[in-house]
This record gives sequence, C-alpha cells and structure tokens, in this order.
Amino acid sequence: MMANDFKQIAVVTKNEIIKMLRGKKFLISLSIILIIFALITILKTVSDGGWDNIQKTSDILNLYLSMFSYVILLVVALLSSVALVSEFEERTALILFTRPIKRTTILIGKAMACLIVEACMILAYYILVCIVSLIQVGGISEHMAASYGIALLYIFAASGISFIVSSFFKRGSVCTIISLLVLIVIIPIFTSIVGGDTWYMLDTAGNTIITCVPEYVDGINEGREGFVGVVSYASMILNAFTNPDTNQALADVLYNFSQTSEYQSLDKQVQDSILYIIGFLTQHPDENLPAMIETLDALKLYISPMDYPDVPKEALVLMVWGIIGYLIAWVKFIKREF
Amino acid sequence: MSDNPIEIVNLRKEYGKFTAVNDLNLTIKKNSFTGLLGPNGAGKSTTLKILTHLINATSGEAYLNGIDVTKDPKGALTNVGTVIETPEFYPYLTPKETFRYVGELIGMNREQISAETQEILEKVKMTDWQDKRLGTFSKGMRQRIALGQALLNDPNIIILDEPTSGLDPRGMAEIREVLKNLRNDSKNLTIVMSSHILPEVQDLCDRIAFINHGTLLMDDDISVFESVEGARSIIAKVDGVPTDEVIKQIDSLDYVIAASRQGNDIAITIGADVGLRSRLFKDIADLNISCYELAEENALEDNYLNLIKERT
Repeated sequence: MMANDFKQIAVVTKNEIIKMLRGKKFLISLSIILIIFALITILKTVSDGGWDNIQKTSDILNLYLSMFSYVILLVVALLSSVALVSEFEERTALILFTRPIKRTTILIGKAMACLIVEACMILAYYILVCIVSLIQVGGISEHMAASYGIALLYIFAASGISFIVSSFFKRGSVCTIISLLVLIVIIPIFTSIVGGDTWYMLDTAGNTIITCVPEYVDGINEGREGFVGVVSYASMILNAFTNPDTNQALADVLYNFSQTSEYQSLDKQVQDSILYIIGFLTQHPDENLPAMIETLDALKLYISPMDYPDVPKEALVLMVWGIIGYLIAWVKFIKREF
Repeated sequence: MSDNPIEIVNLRKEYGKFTAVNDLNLTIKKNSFTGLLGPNGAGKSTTLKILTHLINATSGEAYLNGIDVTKDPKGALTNVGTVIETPEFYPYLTPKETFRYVGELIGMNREQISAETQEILEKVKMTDWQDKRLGTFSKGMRQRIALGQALLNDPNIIILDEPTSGLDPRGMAEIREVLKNLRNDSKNLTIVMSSHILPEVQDLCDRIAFINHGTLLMDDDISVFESVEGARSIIAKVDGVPTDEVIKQIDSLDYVIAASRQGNDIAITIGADVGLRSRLFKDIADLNISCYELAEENALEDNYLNLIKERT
C-alpha cells in the first residue's frame, strides 16, 4: 500500500458514506432501529407494572439489548450486502474501475464506509438506551461499553459475510435476501444442529452483546432454576399416579363422589371433567404417565445453567469471522469481470 | 518501448472454448483518432475492456503509455480517460460532485478540480446542469458527463467504446460535436473509439483498424479505406443535363481519372488524396459549370463489407 492508496481509500469511503446517507436503505435501517427502540419503550410503559420492576442499570440492558443482535444483522444485511454488487448492477463500475485505482482499495473503502455508518447507527441506539437508563435508574451500566464493543465486532463479522454474498451475485436485491437468510436463518439453524458449546459460531459469539452483562446471565439462570423447580414438582406429582392401585383408589373415590347430591349440584362442565378423569384413571392406570415423567426429567437435564461467556475469546471469534469474510470477498472481487 | 501511446501485443481472451480476442496485435499512433471497426462479436469491446482493466486477458500484453495494463493496471491507467459503453453515475451526485470524486481519486487537488470542472463542463455544454443531481439527466446528458469526466487531469489517451450507442440522433450529434472539438483543439491527445456507425467513424477518425474474430484485418489512414484501389468516386450535381463539352472539360483536369454522365449528374473518379475534392469543387466553378453539390460515394462501407467477406 502506498500513501496514494490510503488517500484513495479515504476518497472511496467518503463517497460511499455520502451514497449511503442519501440512499433509501439508510433511511429504512435508521427507521428500524428507532421503531424497535420506540416499541420496547412504549410496550414497557403500558405493560403491567410498567417501569417498576426496572431497578438496576443491568435491567435496562436486559430490556433493550436481549434481541438487539437481530437488529444489527438486519441493518448490516441491508447496507453491506449491496456494497460491491451495486457497482456492477448500476454500471457505475464503468467509471470507477477504469480509473487508476486498485480493486483492493475500492473494497477497503467500501468496507470502511459500511462499518462507519453501521457503527454510528448502532451507537445512536446505545445512546438512546443510556438516556433511558439515566432517566429510569439514574445511571448507566458499567457493561455498556463492553456490549457496544462486541456489537462493533459483530457488525464487522456480519458485514464480512454480506460482502462475500455481494461479491458473488449480480443483483442487489438477491444479495440482501441471501445475506438475511444466511445471517438470520441458516447460521442459527446450523448452530442448533451442531448443538453443545458453539462458541465458534457467529450467532453464539454475537449473543455476547448481552451475555457480557453478568446480571443478564444471572437473571437467565434464576429463571431457568425456577422452571427446573416447576418441572421437578410436576414430575413428582405425576410419579404418584404411576401406581395402578393408587389410580384405581382415586377413581373409586371420585366415582363415589359422583353418586352424591353434592356432585349433582356442581356445574355441568365440572361434572363432565370428573367423569373424564374417572374414565382416564380406570383405562390408563400406568401407560402414559411414565413417558411423560421421562420427558420432564429429560427437560430438567436439558435446561442447564448458562455459563458466563469468555468475552475476549468471543471477540476473537467475531474478528476471525469478519477477516475470513472479507478475505473471501476480496479474492472474488479482484477477479470479477464486468 | 516505442513512443506509441497504445500497443497491443499478442492479446488473447478466451471464454471457455470461445476466443473473443485472438492474438491481436495493434499499435495506435500518437495524436491519432483511431476508429476500431468490426461486426458484432468481433472483439472490439473485449479489447477495450482489457485495455481499461474491466476484464482480464488470458494472455498477451497491452501497453498504455508504455505500461502493461495486464500487469500494472493502476500505473497504466494513470493518464487515460475512458468512456466504456454508456456508464451510469451515482444518481445522488451532481456533475460537479462527480468530477470532484473522480478528480480526487486520480490525485488532483481541489483547486485543479475546480478549475478543470468549469472548463470541461463548458466543453461538454453542461454548465447549466452542474448542480443538478445526475439521477434526473437524460442518457445523452449523462454521456456528455461521462465524456467530461474522462477529460479530467488532461489525459493523453482517451478510450471510447461505442460512445453514441443507445442515444437518440440529437444525443449522437452532441457527442460527435464534443469529440470533434476535442480532436481539433487538443495537441497531445490520442483517441481510440470503437463504433458500428461508419459515417460517425468517417466524420471523426483519421485512422481505422478493422477487427474481426478477434484479429486485426487492416490498420491504416482513413483515406485509404475511403478510396477504391486508390481512387475516390464523386457525384457532381449540376443545373440541367450535363453536356458532352462539360464532361470533357472535367475529364481534362490532370487529377481526374475518369468523368462520365450518370443520369442528370456527372460521375467523377479522382485520386485518393483528401485535398483533391476541394480542388475539384474550385476547378468546376472556374469552368463556369453550375454545380450545386459534390457528393462522395461511400467507399468505406463497400471496403468494410469486402474486407470482412475476404478475410473470413
């Protein structure tokens, strides 16, 4: 790289930023971010209890950032996926590529423009979250900066994937759709199929945006513990009905009750329910319940507590995804013919 | 390396089994306006796209100002302006902003860009539109801007690939006028232009290179192509029916090869020298023959068709 190349990168970056700021996709992306923020704020305000259960700065992060990685992917897919392909589709390459400028310089300029614009949009969201945090709980979470840092790396990684798509296809709209599919559908599906500790996957690493907040992980684990408790109780109750004698005894008690005047005074629907239970206990003394208990026990094991993420490792994973993405896009782009 | 601004040596481009450019050798002389002629699929556009680094050659070399574009495209394109087909511009930019963008890309400073922008916009007659966004421009206007941006930084080579393609007659005439002025006003400028339109090539170019099947068939001054075996056919339209005496007088001129009656006109064959046509016009007037038009038969088209037929 010569000094002249750096100047050209700056020129391309500036032009690309102007292009994005004057384009429709920028407005759409900004609107998405603002609408998401407004929706969360309004729904929280009108919900039962409102802001009363938001006591700590980490509660604000939980509220606004738990699904934010999807918004980032949406913005990146909209803006980055057309960066390269638009030169071919809109025939502007006939002006740009015939100039004394390296394709590498063009790619770096475009990538930088995308990253700058996307980072600024995401920053706007974080600033709004900070404002709400200051108003509602009088402070800002100490993890806000770490979360934003991870969000930047997530933008870098996702943008790299979008650039690959943009370097291969001929139409911008196709690139946007494929980028969305890859980032929001295919990669998460792959992650769930692989299972286990998927620290190396893009979406898992991207979740660090919120899981880097320890209180969020604690909150998730509290919720999971509660759920495991409920499942355990359900399992214990059901266990009591796997004994045929118990079932028959209960069926007899209910049958006797159905012969009383008290039963006759009950609502028709309740009467029918009692008759149904009698029938079920008599016909299925021990067949279905063991299977249900087994399922619940398996569920208990499946819901293991969430680990605190290794933030530096996940940051490295995101960087690697981004670098690989841009490298593949670069190899394709420098050879692509008009 | 010679001082020819463009030299193409054994250039080859293959698409699978199809050879678009077949070991092409071509030299474009300094300060010439060369027309690249050939039928569809002859390899003209492919050659120009290799020269402008839009596509890569399979083998061979293509030098621009002595630098091989296949090896150092950035260096080779440094002093080159291009208009390939009908390029599109960023619709959100104005002509001034577009020129600034291109100017900055090629390393011009702000003062240079401002000064040249005004000059070029006047040349391409787009001064009144300099602050309007390009998205609202007609194709002809956009093509004039394309030509304008190619002139930034005063290049010594301009490469044009069918610059009037897809334009309406008015748009074509406007572009031709700009190119003509460019040819007449510039002292150190070599232009190479591909085109299908023979009158356009005749109007603008002083040299022609015929290409077919990716190979050079012939490359020479346009006057050679405009003559039939070293001669040019002129039709003189005179008032009334030309008499034998009139035809005899014309035939007796020392540079006239033959003169004969053709209906109410006189068919005259003269040498290939371009200056002879104006001399003939003057001599006919001196002979007191009332001639209101000297039309030249289009030998270029015949030569073009014959050349393609002979060599394929």
